[in-house]
Amino acid sequence: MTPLSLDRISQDRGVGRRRHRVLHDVSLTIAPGEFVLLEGPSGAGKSTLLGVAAGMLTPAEGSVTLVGMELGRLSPAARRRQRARTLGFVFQRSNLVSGLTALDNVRLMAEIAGVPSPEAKRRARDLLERVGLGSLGSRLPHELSGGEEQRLAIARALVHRPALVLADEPTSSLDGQIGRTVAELLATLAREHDTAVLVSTYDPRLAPYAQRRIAILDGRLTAPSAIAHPSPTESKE
Amino acid sequence: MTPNGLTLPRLLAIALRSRRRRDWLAVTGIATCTVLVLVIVSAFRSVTRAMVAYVDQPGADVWVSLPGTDNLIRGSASGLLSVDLADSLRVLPGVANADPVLKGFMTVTTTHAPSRRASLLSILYRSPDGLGGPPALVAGRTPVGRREAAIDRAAAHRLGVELGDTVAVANRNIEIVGITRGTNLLATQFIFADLAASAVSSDTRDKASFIVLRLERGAETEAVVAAISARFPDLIAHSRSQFLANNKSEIAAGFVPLLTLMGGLGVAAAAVLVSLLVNGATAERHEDIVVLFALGAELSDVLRGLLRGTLRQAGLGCGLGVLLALGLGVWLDRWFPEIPLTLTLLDTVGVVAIFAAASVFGAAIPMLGLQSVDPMEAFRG
Repeated sequence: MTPLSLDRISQDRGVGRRRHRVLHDVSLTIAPGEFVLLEGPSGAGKSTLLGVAAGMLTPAEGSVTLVGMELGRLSPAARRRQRARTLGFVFQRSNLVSGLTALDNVRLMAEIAGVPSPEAKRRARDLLERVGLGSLGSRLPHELSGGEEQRLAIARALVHRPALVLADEPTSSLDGQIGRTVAELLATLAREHDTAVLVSTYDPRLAPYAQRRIAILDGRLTAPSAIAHPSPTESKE
Repeated sequence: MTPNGLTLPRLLAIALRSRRRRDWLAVTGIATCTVLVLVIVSAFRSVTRAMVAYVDQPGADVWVSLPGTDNLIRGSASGLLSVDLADSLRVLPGVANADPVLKGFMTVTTTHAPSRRASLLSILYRSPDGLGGPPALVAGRTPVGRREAAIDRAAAHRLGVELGDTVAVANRNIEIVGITRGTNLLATQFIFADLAASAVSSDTRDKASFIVLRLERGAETEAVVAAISARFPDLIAHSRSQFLANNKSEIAAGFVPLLTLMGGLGVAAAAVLVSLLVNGATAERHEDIVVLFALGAELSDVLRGLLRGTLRQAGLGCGLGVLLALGLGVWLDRWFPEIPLTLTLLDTVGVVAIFAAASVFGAAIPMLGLQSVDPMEAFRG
């Protein structure tokens, strides 16, 4: 089943005279297991597009279909449940729950998605091993390095075996080799789990893993060649 | 609702738990408020219990007084009874014995320097075994003659006197020969002496506030009360239960408004404290809450997690408060018996339940604000 289909999405921001359009007639389909880069400069509409795809924002026009369910037809609670079951997230900052250990952060996502408790714990342990954090399961997020946090976030994003992972600039806060390692881990694990990935980024280190690259500029999808990439120094190489 | 019952709420409760210092601040605050309310309630219970101990003692089945005097605390200015009335009442059918009791207030002064004084509720009765004497002695004996008295343990502590010491009452020296317990009314305490002591004043000589009757086995209290009303229309006869109720009501009239106000303020303080702390905790955990909503957690699950934490704090706070109140009661009884504390299980459970409800109410206000948390914040780095 197609993980994500956006059909002629338009989205506004602000109210009254300050209201302006941030997404214009965006259509996009992500195939199962596909790794897609959504490139664009800051303010181009990448995060808004991810928010619409996740059902956190209701589009002004158009429809969003997430794993066979058209979100516009669902109640807010049902949208939230659909999001929990079918989507994984890797945010720009890892956004781990600060009061939970590494293991419980991963386990929590599985529990939210409705995975039975013993299975959630087993999967969380396996994935921590897989991302190289098997021995750090009892650590709190603030006791981990930036790279470890993002690896943990990747484990959290995949533990409930979602159809699609939405990753919002997952490597932008990581330097050089660490950023490449995290990018590779995300691509590898997504492939192993047959999970599609939509990554919003401005980081060229992710380009080698992409099966498809699309770009967004001023709220409109465009060809990647239409946007200027930052220099290697700008991308924290 | 997730199908996996218990684990998600537990994880959320841990995730949303306040930082340790804030957690302990909440627990300590609730404990302090709990102690405050328990002390007020138990002081009231102690006073009531002291009155019950005296009025409800064996043998005091009917209390006879002039109209307008229906309790021990306050009486009317309608005068006193003659002690000879006891003889007239003693011969009524169903009455086994009748003894006079003269109630009043005595200013007692110690004879050693520096002098201390206390105004005590005096009960003059026909010692050593007349009706209306001390309900329980913890040391010494009942007083005999006009130069002896038994006083409450807390009064002895207030005055700094022991058995065998002498105190002054209306320029007469009286020896303390007995110490009573459970006769502390907080604002004052009981002192018991022989009715012969009333002879020092012409106003009270051979006078009584009450005639206390002991009924024969099998006699109907209501029948005796009715017979007294018929035979002595100028007198009022109170059954033991009625007299007890009158005294409790009199105590409650003085205590309950203040008790309610202080208790209410204590509970309100706890609710405000919990509200502030939950508000702080939700602000402190705002980023975590944003992430939870972004991941798809239900609002109800997050609220349950927060509520669980609040109830945990309330439970710990109340538990600590109960322990502190119990410890305080023991300490006061040993070192400062003027303040009596009697904790009953029912009162304790009631206070804990009220605090739990107040905590939930206090937590509800900041929790309602979670409805406006925008999960999109997770994308805004």
